[in-house]
Amino acid sequence: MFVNDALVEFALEYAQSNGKYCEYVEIRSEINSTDTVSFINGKLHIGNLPIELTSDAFARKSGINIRIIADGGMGMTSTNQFTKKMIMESVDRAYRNAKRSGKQRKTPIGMSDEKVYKEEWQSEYKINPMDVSLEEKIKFLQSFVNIFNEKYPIEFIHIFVLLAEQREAYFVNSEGSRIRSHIPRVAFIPVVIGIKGGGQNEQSMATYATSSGWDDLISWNLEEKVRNTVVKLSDIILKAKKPPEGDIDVILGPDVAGIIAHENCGHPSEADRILGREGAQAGESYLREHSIGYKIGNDCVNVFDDPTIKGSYGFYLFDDEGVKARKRELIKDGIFNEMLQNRESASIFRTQSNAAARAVAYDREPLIRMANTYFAPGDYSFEEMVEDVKLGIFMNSFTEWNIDDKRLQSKYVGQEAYLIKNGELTNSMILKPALEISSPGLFSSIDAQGKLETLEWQGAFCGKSEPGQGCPVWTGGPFVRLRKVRLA
Amino acid sequence: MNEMEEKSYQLIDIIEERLEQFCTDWAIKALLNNENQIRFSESQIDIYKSWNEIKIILFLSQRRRTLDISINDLSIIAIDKALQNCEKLLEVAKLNLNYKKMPAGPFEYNPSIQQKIFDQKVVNLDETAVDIVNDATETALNEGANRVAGSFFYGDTQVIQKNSLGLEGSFNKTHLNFRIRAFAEDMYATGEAISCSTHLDHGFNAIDAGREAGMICKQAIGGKKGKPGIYNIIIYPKVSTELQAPTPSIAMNKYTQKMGLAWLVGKKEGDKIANDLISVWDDGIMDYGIQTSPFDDELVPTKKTLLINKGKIHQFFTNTSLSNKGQESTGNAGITVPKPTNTVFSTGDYSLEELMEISNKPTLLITSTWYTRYQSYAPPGALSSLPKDGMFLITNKGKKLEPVRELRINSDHYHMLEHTIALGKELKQVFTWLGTNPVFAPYMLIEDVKMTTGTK
Repeated sequence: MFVNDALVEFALEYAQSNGKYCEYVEIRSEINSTDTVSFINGKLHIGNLPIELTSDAFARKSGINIRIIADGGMGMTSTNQFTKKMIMESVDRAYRNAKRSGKQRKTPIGMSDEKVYKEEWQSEYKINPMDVSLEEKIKFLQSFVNIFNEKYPIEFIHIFVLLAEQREAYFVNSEGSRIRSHIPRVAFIPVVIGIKGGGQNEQSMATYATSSGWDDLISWNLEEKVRNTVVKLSDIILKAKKPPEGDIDVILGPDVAGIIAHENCGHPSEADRILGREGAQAGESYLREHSIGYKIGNDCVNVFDDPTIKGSYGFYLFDDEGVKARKRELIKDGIFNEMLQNRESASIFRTQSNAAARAVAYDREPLIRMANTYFAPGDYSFEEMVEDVKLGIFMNSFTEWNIDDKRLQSKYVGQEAYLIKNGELTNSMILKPALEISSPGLFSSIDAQGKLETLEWQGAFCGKSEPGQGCPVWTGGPFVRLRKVRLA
Repeated sequence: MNEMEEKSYQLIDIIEERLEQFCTDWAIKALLNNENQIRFSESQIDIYKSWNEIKIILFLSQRRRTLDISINDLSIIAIDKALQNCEKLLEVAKLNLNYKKMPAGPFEYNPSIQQKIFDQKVVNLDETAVDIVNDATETALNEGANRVAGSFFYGDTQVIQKNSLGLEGSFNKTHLNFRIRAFAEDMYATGEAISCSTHLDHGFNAIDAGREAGMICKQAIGGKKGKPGIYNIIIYPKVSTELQAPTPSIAMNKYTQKMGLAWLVGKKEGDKIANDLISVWDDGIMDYGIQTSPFDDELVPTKKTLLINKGKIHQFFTNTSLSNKGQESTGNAGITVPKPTNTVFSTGDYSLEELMEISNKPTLLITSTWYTRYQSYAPPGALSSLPKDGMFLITNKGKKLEPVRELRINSDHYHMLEHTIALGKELKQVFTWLGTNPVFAPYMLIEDVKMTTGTK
C-alpha cells in the first residue's frame, strides 16, 4: 500500500512546524517489490539463496523516508507504520538526529540550488515482469536447465536466477518538488561452473537485465548465449594454455571494458568518495589528489555515465533528490572531466548536482551512484584492432576481479581469451590471463576503441554504503585495445 | 506491551488465520527493529539515521511445496494480496525435496541467554551515542591520525515466532557495531579497527578501536610498494572474516554442501581440511555474540556445534530437514536453508608479538583486507583479496615494521586453512560490513601465501 499523498504532505508540513526550523526537508514514500525464482542444479527454489545473489528474495516493502537538515546537520528516519502518530515521531526523531549531528560538525551541511520539478515518469515497457506468471518464469528458466541434458566432456554446476522487481516512489521536498516514479526491472543471472577432476574449474556469472519489460528480456536469445558459455567453459578447461610473457597488447571485449569503465572510472569519480564520505565503507578515490582537468589517460579515452538510456538497467529520469537526470562525461579526451554529484557534494564543489543521488528502497538514504557507465565508441573495427597487433591476447570475458579501495590498483582475470599473433586472431585459448594494473596505467595504455556497432551492455548490482545498497546498473563498452602491458 | 508489539501480535493472528486455510506447515517470524546509525567522515558526522520497522518473515508449505517470503507492507490489503499470491504460487511450485518437516518439540530454552544478548543501556543510548563517536575520534586523532571516518550502529530487536506445530517464543536482543578508519595526511596511510558486542560494558570499547586505528595509520606513513613473492602472513581477526571464516560459515552449510555450491564439494566428515591446531564452532549461544539467540527459525534451541575438529571436518551445520538420518538439527534453521550464527575459531598460545618472532620467512602483517573475489566457488575456492590499511613487512623478528603497499593476496581456502601454523591467544568478535555473520577469531600466522602487484 502506498502511503497516501495526504500523509506525505502531512509529514512535510509537520517537519516545518511546531517550533522546528529545518534548512531542508524531503519525504520519500516507496513501495518496493521483489520476486525471485531460481533453479539450483535443476531443482526449483523460491526463496532466499545462501550465496549473495539476492537478498529479501520474495519481498514486499512499503515505507516512508524522512531526511532533514537542521542546524547544519543531517538526520534521517524511516518507518513502515503509517499512522499520523508514528509519522510525527519519525519526523521528530529525524529532526533531533539532525540537530545532534549539527552540533558536532565544524562545517554545516548544505545543498546546491536546483530547479524544482513537478513530474511523473516511468520506464517504457510492454509487459511488466511483476505481472508474469510463475509458470511462465519456471518455463523460461527450465529451458536453460535443459541445456545440461546433453553430454559434455566435463561436469557442471548451474544456478539460474530470475529477479523481477518494481519500485514506485513519491518524492516531495520543502522547496516544492513533487515527483512520482514507477519502474519495473528484470534480471536473469546464469551462474555456470565447469569442473574437471584435479582442481580444474571455470566459473561464469553474467547478468542480463533491463527496465524495458519482460518481452525485451526474452527477445535476447539468451538460451544460445548460455549454451555458448557452456561450450566455452569446456574448451577453456580442456584446451587453454599459459599466457604469453613480456609486454604484449591486449584487446578487451565489451564485458571487460564495461567492468573497467565502472570500477576504474565510475567509482573513483563519485564525489562522495573523493570527499571521504565513504572512507570507512566503499573507500575513497585516487582522484582526491587531483582536480578536474587532470590528464588521466590517452586522448582517445572517453568514459561516460548516462541514466537516460532507454531500457537500461540503471534507467531514471529524475534522481532521488528531485534533480533531472542527464549524461555525465566522466573522462573526456583522456581528461578527468566531471564527477558524479549529489546536491550535498555539489554545494561543496560549488557546482550543480548532475542527478547522481539514488536510493534502492525506502529505508535507504540516497547516495551518489552510477547508472550506466561505458567506454564511448571510437573509430576501429575489431579486425582493424587485431591486424595491428604483433603479439597479444583478446580477452573477451573475465572471471575474477577486484580493485583496491582507492580504485587505483585493479585486477581482471580473463576467462574466454585467445592468442593474437602477427595480426591474426588464433584459435589458441589462453588460460586465466591476469591483468593487474593501476587505473592511470590502464587509461594511458588505451590507444583504440571499437565502433558504435560493437558497443554491448551487461547488467550488474553495484554495491556501496552501509547498510548496503545493491544498485541496478549497466556497464558497457565496445572493444578496447591496450598497448604494451604485462600480464601478472 | 508497547504499540509495535501489540500491532505485531495482531498481524500474527491475522496471518495465522489466513495460513491455516491453505498451508500444511507454516512459520511466522516478526522482527521489531529499532536501529540507529551514525556515519562520520572527515572527523564530522555526515548523517544520523534511525529505522523503526516491523518486518514479517513467513515460511509456507503445502504438502512440501515451499515458499519463503518477507513482508513489511503491513496493511491488511497488502498482506491479503501477498498471501493470495502465495497460495497461487504454492499450487504451481514443485515439491521441495530438501524440506521434510519441522520438529514438533516441545523444547526447553536456556533462560540465561536473554541476559547475555540484551542490554537496556543500548536501548537508552541516544543521548550519548554522539559522545561515543567523539571520544573515539579524538583518541584516533591523538594517536596521529589527520582525520577519521566510520560508522556506529546500535539498536534493539524483538523477535516473535510462532509455527503450525504450536511452538512459539520471543526474545529481545541489542547490538553495537563501531568501526573507525584513521587517515594520515598521506591518504594511502590508513588504519582501521572494529568493536562490536551486544552489551556496552562487555567486549565493546570504541576508544580502544580509535586508538588502534590511529596507531596503525601512523605506522603506515611512508609505505612503499611491496615486492611480489611468497610470504608468511599474520592476519588480524577481522581479516579472518574474508579469508578463513567463509569455509565454516558458508561452505559448511549443509544446504551448500548438498547442492554442490562451494569448495568443500566432495569432502565429507572426517576429511582433513585444515591444520591440526584449527578447530571451529558454530556457536549460537556464545555470550555477547551478535547472532546469539535462544532458538532458531524452527524454534529449535540453539547450541554450540563443532564443525572442524583439529583440522578435520566434524559436521556441517544444518536444520531439521537436512539433518542426516539419526542426527538432530544443529539449531541453525533457516527452515529451507540453514544459516550460520557466530563462527568461533580455536585459540593458540601466542601473542601478536610472539607470532612475529616465530615466523621464520619473509612475513607480512595484514591488518585489514577487502574486495575478496573468487575465480570459482568450486574446489579449492581460489580467490584474491586486497589488503587495505596498514600492511607491514616484519623485520628483525617483529622489532621493526616497514609499511608496504599495493600487494594482493592470491590463494585459496584449502591453502589458507592447511597452512595456518600458529594462532593467537585471544578471540575478538568482529562483524564487518562485508561479512555474512559475526566471527570470533584470533590473530593467525599463515604460511606461503602468494602476493602479487600491478605491472603498470
